[in-house]
Amino acid sequence: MVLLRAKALAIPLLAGEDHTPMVGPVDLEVHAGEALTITGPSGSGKSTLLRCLAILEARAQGSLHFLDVQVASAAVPAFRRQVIYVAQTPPRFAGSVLESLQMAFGFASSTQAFSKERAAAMCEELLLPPDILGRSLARVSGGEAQRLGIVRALLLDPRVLLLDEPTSALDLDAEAAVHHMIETWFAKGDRATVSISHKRELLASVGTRRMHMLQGRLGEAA
Amino acid sequence: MNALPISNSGLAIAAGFIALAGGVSFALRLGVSKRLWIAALRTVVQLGLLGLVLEWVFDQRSVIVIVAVIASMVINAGIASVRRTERRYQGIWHSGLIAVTCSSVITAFVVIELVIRVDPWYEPRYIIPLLGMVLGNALTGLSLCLDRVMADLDDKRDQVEGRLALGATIWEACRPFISDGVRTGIIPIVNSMTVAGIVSLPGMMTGQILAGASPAQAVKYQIVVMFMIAGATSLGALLAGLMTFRRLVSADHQLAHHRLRKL
Repeated sequence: MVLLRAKALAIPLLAGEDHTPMVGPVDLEVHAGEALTITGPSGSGKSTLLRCLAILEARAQGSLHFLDVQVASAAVPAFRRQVIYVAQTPPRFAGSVLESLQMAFGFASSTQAFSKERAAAMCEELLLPPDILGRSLARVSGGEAQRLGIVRALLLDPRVLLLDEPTSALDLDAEAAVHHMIETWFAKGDRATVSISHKRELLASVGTRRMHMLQGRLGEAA
Repeated sequence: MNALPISNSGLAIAAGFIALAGGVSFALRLGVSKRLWIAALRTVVQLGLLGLVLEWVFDQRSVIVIVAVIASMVINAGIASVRRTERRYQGIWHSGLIAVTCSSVITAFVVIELVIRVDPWYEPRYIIPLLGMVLGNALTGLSLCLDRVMADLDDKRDQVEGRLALGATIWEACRPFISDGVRTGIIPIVNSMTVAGIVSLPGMMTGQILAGASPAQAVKYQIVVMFMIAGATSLGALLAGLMTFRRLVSADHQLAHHRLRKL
């Protein structure tokens, strides 16, 4: 089953621009049960490609299919709940950590109910301090913010996770906890991840597919 | 009753205050003497010209001339509202102009036609100063809002996209920042209304009292003007915020950040 199919995904280089990472054209299929890891030098366009897959790049061209249906403009918010992009440095939303975890359940595309107990349990599982929910998101550390980004995404139980260096700010214990939580989610079946990593590979037990990015082009890793 | 006229020798005495300020600046080496003189000169030249223009405008009885004057005031306000901002996007001048026009012209006409009931509506002694006051204030609110919304969508882009990434519609993702912009835009007029008569004696009221109006009438005028400014500022800021939002997003619920350019 193909969860995500990108056709001729590209960000054209505008005249006079040389700093923007040019991407593509990229053709990509992400199958259910697949853990895809993208490697490549910095500046090769890996992050931009992930953002393109989440339809966050306004200049991107090409088409994106989710479960064999092309994603129409009106369906983009619902699509993004199924295919969640987690930035390397998750944003510091205004308000408390709890509010930031609850936020997505207030959006019009939400069909689920927020469970504070579940959020607290997930935070604990990721070795976050017990009082974290009441703290201001602006005041948590970089590593805590990164783990909270994972919790925010997994609370929505998406089909695909697009992870940009999800453990770059974490020590080994916290990294292992994040990997374990993602593996548990993945084991529900018909899930997939596309991740960028310079560290230990995610879902190594599943057997990951590796691709390599170079100057905006994606190829099978050697 | 009219205000006592000020003679030219009276003006000369008032100019002594500038000399005093200049003396203080010189004695304490504040280094603002030159700027002070230029500012004083500008005041004289600008207000002198304004006086000449107003003398002429107030003699006009032609609706076409008055409409032309109104149009030039509105266009200048629209340009000024955008010029004060730190960022640009394609179409920002249209947004500024439309927001200024809709907000100020609508409120000024309601006041002219329904509140003060000026006949004919284009009586320059009413429409020009009223529109001037509403434009001056609305453009401040509008450019504060414009600047804030653009700055937030630029600097807090990660928050907007973080919300989008969790399934927010583009409006859900941007709404907090549009609200903040409108709030920023109306803070000055809310502050003036809050302290009106306690901390500050509003300029227009003071002027009317000096010109011989009864305080009760002057107060009514001042209230109308402040309400008018509050209405125009909120409407202008809201329009500016919404138009900026529309220009900086795409149909695919994306922030079209590349359309934003910092000066």
